[in-house]
Amino acid sequence: MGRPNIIIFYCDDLGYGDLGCYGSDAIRTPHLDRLAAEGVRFTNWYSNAPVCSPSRASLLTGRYPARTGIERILGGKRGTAGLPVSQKTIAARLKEHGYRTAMFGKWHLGVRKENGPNAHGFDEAFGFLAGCVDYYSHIYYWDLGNPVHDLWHNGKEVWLNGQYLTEVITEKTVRYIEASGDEPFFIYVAYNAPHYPMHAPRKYVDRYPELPPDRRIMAAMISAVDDGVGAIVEALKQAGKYEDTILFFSSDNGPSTESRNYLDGTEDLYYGGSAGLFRGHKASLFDGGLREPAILAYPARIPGGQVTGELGAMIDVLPTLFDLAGLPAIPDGEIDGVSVAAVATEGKPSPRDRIFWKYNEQLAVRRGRWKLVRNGKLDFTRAAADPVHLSDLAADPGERINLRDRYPGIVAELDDLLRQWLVTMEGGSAE
Amino acid sequence: MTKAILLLFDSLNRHMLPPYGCKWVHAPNFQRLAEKTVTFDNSWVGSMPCMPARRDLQTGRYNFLHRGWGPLEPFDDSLAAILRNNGVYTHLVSDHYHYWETGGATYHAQYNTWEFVRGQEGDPWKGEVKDPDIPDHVGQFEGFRAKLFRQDWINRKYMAEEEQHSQTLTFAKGLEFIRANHDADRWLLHIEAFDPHEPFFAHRRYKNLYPHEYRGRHFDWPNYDRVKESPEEVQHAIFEYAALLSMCDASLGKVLDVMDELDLWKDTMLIVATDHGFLLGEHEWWAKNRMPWYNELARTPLFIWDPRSGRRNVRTDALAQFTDLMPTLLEYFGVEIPEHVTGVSLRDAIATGRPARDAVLFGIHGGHVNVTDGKYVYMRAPASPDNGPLYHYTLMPAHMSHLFTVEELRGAELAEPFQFTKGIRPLKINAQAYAKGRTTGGEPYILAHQFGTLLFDIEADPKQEHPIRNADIERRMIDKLLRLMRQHEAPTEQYERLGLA
Repeated sequence: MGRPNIIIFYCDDLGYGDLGCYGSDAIRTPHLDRLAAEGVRFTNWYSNAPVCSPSRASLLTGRYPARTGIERILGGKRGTAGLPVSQKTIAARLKEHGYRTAMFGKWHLGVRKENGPNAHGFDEAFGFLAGCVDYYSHIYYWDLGNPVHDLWHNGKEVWLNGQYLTEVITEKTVRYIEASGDEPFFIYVAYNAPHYPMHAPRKYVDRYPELPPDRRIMAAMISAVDDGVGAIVEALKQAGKYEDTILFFSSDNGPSTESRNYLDGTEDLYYGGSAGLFRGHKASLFDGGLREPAILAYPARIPGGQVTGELGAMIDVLPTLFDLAGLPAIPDGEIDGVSVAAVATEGKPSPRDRIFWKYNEQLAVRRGRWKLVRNGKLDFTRAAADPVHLSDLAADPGERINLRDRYPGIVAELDDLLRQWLVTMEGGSAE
Repeated sequence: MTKAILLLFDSLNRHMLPPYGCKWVHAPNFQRLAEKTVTFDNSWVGSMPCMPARRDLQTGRYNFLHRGWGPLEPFDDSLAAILRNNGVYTHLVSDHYHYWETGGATYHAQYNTWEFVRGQEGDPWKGEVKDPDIPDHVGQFEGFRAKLFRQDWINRKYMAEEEQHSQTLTFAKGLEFIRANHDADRWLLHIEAFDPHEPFFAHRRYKNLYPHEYRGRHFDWPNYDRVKESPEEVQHAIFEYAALLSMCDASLGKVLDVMDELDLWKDTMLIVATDHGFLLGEHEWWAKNRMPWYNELARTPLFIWDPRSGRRNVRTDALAQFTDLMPTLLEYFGVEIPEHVTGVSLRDAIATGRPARDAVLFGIHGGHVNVTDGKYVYMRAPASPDNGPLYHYTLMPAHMSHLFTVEELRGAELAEPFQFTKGIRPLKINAQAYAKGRTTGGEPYILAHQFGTLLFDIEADPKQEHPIRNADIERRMIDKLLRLMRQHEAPTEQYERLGLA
């Protein structure tokens, strides 16, 4: 039997609470709900960073952000450096095992050619290299700098003026699947939605007449993604490849409160995206910035209809996919992730019992039910009331009750783990 | 081309650096440094504390047998002046404010050019007449140190951002010199950071590397005293020190980066060293000076890259000392080493690991006289509680922050010349009261007599928790001690003070 195909869908600033299968009562996502019903839906799955670039670096390399050299959001100017090629991505690793590799959508790991997707193992790369673009002109407008057109096909600038980016990404992916032969493929489908700027064609907006404007545009953008996932799954089925394809769907970080998301000049915090019951938003090390929808499907091997509370993180995606695809394990020390494949295939407990985070001044650790956040923020600008916050996530998943005073021993243990982890994060990039 | 960078830190603890086995401190650039250099496992201080060490550095011989803290003497041959006079451009960049106090003041003028950064510790820098807001803090300072403490809180206000920190600016000026002169021949750049000397003032991003529970009062400046604080306070101070050390590591990284970028390794010697360590609760003591010069204080980190040998990422256990840096640099630049220098060039130790000597002395004027061969440390205490007889020999009668008092000088007389004074008769000033003073509790400042003579097997007991008694070893160590004291023309009363006359 040949190797299975692999598709990773990675959204942008998608909140935990904004998919139907994750409890949204406003946004309808029938295709993602079906994918979850045919696979396993994780309820304790974390990004390794609360912002775009480091989260993507961890997803693609299986390493904590500090060990990828990408710990902050990268800028959009031409010439911006990024993920060094000494960092081996899942695409580069899969190529070694005979995979054809493709990326459609957002890169955000460096604008220079030597840091771009083609340098990182993608045979085919169509999309944009920085953090976001206008969905119709594909021009980057942000950061108080001059606008930059940012749409590329294998290193060459291309123009698709007027075409809605989410649909372009879907269409490119579908064509790639239709054109694929017997060789296994890996596709990284990196939707920019539902990131700023909040654009969606009227047909999606019209689906939600009942919602207020900020939620309506969010819902429309997510529906476009959901339709895209549906179209891609359909293409796999048409090609007779659905059964033998591993699909993973998630997002880089929680929803954004940045006021730029409004298109009417409002200067308040934006609450168009929902982190569900979790505290915090994008840029926060509370769960609202980190905990993500995560759906894993592999019809040939993973029994459908599962929902699991087992722990996992984006760094685990690479080893898990390798495990499911029957590829040799990555040598010890090269990556920080572990395979959670057996959680999905056999219902076993996750080998992961702890996750660590560092983002600027914020530090956090989750071990089992306990989570400690130091210098926590609620988003880019607002600090949490308590600089040291201990939560029992089993009893208080919203991280509302600070148990720091009641369990000083746990705080000390988690601090100790954090200090040990921080030391191991040094030594820079793997060579 | 022949160039050198001498990078000194103050109070850099060897046992807290990853290349010396520390597992919990964030100092990846020191690890990187060790991979680029020869790491010395057996490097020792000479004269203690700060300025005495700097006189050792400049003159290549011990200060502490003849004098306490003070300026360079008129008869001293200094590293910087010798190089300058032999066509090697010397430049000093430092925030070590003791250089511009009364008891420093003569060192920096030896260099072709020098640049200072103000604001460390209680450097009398920014002027504010009203008392600053000082947070509730652990401990209480009195006298001179209380003035430093007050001034430090004023100085900190002007360093709210890391870019304004004295250390940051010091390294920035060092890098500026390197970039301006990297294609010029024959220069020595001496970058000297006051950090990680107390107070342990670092910015938040370094403190965040050491998350820990602490709800006590502000505490980043231990007194020179026995530990009286709670375990939580002690641990907090250790983390505060570690945070400042991590900031030093980041600054070191900038120097290594520019050496990589400009490929300076091909023709530039790099020496990274420190004057001494700092006790953070070990032996139930804080700081230095008053207690014996335990290994945590006296055994120092030392890293040297000599482009002629090309040896890197190796270690040597050859006995080395702070006084060796001067002859090492003179030899490197092909300049003759003056006859009174007792330190030895480390060229052979770097190239072959071969030791150049079998023992070294170290200590503070008026304290134990210590000798080590790298296996044993022998600390010879004053025989009598009055710690006498004890004299300063100097023509520059200044202490750290003030000139000698009229009372001190009243009984001074001219001593017979030493060879190293080049036939000049120095002042001989009674030092007993000075070594005893500076505490309010009536107990002497330097407690060498109270601790008594101590012998340690530091291979078996590196933490020096169990002094040994062994007459044979003691006799051997006394022989080495006497030989080195004679070599340095120790004044005759030093033998009497130590009960070795």
